[in-house]
Amino acid sequence: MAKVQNPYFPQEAEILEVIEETPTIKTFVLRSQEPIPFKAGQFMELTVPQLGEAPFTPSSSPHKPERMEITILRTGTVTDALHQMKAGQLVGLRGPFGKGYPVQKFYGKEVLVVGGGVGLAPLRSLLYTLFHNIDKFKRVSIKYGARQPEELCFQREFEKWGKLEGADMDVTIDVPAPGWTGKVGLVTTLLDDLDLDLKSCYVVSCGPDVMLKFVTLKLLDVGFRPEQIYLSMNRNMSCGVGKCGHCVVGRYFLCKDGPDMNYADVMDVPGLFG
Amino acid sequence: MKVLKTNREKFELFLEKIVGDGVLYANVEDEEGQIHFEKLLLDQLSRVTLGKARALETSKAFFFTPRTKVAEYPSSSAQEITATKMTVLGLKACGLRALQILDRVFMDDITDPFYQARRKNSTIITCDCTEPWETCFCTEMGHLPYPESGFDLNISVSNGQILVEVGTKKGDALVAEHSGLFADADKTLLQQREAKRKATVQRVKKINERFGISVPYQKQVKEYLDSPAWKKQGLAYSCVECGACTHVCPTCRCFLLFDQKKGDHAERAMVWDVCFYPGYWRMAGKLTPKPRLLDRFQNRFSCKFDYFVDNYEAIACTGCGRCIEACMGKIDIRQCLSEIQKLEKSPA
Ligand SMILES: Cc1cc2nc3c(=O)[nH]c(=O)nc-3n(C[C@H](O)[C@H](O)[C@H](O)COP(=O)(O)OP(=O)(O)OC[C@H]3O[C@@H](n4cnc5c(N)ncnc54)[C@H](O)[C@@H]3O)c2cc1C
Ligand code: SF4
Ligand code: SF4
Ligand code: FES
Repeated sequence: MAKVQNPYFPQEAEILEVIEETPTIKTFVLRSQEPIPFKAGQFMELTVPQLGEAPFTPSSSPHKPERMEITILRTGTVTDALHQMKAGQLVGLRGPFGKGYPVQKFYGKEVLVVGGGVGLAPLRSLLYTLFHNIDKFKRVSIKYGARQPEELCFQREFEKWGKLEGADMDVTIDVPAPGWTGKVGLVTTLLDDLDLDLKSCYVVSCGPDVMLKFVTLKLLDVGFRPEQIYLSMNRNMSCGVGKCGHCVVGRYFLCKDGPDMNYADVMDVPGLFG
Repeated sequence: MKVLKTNREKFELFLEKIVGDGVLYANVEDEEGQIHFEKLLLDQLSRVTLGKARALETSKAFFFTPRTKVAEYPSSSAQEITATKMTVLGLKACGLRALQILDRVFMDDITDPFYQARRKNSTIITCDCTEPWETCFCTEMGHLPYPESGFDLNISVSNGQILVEVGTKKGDALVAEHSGLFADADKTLLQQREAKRKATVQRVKKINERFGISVPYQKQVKEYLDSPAWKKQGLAYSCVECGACTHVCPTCRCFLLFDQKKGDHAERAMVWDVCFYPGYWRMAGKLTPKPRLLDRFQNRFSCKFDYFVDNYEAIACTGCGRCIEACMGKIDIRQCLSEIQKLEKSPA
């Protein structure tokens, strides 16, 4: 008898390593029984045994599925429990779910990547994908912000990213902090004088709902069209396969049609940003 | 398709065969005239009610059960999925319609194997509706109170005779196996069936005359559900967010995956969830896209009359009226739709 796929069953995965990114963010390096191929932007449902699961987008390169990294902000029941876990312990994985970023659409174009806080985690997977074929894109421009310097994720990689041929990176923190010599201000301030060809550019943004809202307004203000903007949206999720209803944004299921949505498709949805 | 006839005595013999080969759920009537689904055994078949109107119990519960164990873990592989052979007798056209809608949800590009297994192992014998309730409004949803296709067998009662229409190969095989119990239906019986059906359609229309609602609803729901004029009607304000309406609704399909410790392992269950509950929407940091009751109330309408139409080419309301009966706030979905449609005629 053919084995029936059970989309709700969590596959076992071992925590290989836990990397502390910031006081509230950790990266979990996972190895499942079989490597799980995924595309940048697709997400996983991660189970803490006996407790429950929550959705997360891998932050690692899709080219290394045997070593999946998931970067997690501590914020509630499941994530608190995860932050207590150590290398060698077991978690569950379902997925990948969703469509992932429309990377091929970005070929030959400039790609503006705007992240806030832990929102850089899903975007890192995209960045690795873009960097893997950097010649295919006109330019990759990264704008990233967090509240304080110690809340900046993946700082160890910033220098490398900024120096890549065809890429540039700009970082800001919300309010001045001792020892910080970089830019200060909300991430939207990095969008003021963009040195980009607005006609041939796509924007991808991920972060808290309020940030997404103000980034979107700013982008529209500086001349982007809704069709050029992709937002990694957030909703409560349960099934991941378009059945349970939780993740609806208008007629779309974030888990199937997203989680990154073209702004033109969702701009009329009431309460889009909560 | 082929229509056969039989009588009550022979039909019960037929049901005996069915009970011998699986579980039978059929309609029975209580002292108050309410129709229920009950699991019937061999010596209870005389209690089966044919016709009348839809049962109190929601039809989805046979296939999308209130709680389904969907996984046990840790385990190296998913458990085998099985379902008991089951015959459901007495769904009306609205119940069948609801199943067809759930089929689209649970068996689209990604299949829910639990739903699928139950569906595959079931036989659906529908009945014509003959005595609609005051809350019935299938006709106003563009449907008929008798099914035209999609059933394995459909039953109509005419002048003491039982007409059995064959709808699928499965149904055909079932009657063929017991061919001695059936004969071809004659024209007069079919004409009588037709007349009865017409009368029921008229009855449902009459019940709903006062609302003046008619398909389609999508455009008006899109345009006016969020309007101040509709909100001013205050139709949502008596809602106490109990979730009764969604629980009894045969097309409401929301659920939650819920993990629990069971000894040294864990069990994951799929349990019905309700879009009226604030917790349904809550995200990290207590953020929510639907903070007000009104937002959540509207979601139920947008979901049924707008999003479903786009995603599954069907209105997710069959007009069964269960939510009207169940609501302690006395909210009548027909009244809500009526106010929305009135706004189109005279926007306030
Ligand atoms: C597609 C997607 C990708 C995400 N990627 C990341 C990521 O890479 N890194 C990261 O740190 N965070 C990510 N998040 C947010 C993350 O899912 C929430 O922070 C997490 O669900 C919080 O769970 P909790 O139990 O700790 O919080 P609580 O507030 O205690 O949550 C209670 C329960 O709600 C359920 N729930 C379901 N969906 C959500 C949701 N979206 N938000 C909150 N609760 C939810 C959870 O199962 C949880 O058990 C992502 C969210 C989505 C939708
Ligand atoms: S049954 Fe009535 S009171 Fe209960 S949630 Fe539904 S509309 Fe609200
Ligand atoms: S919304 Fe009400 S009338 Fe419509 S199918 Fe659901 S329970 Fe029946
Ligand atoms: S998470 Fe269940 S429908 Fe999207």
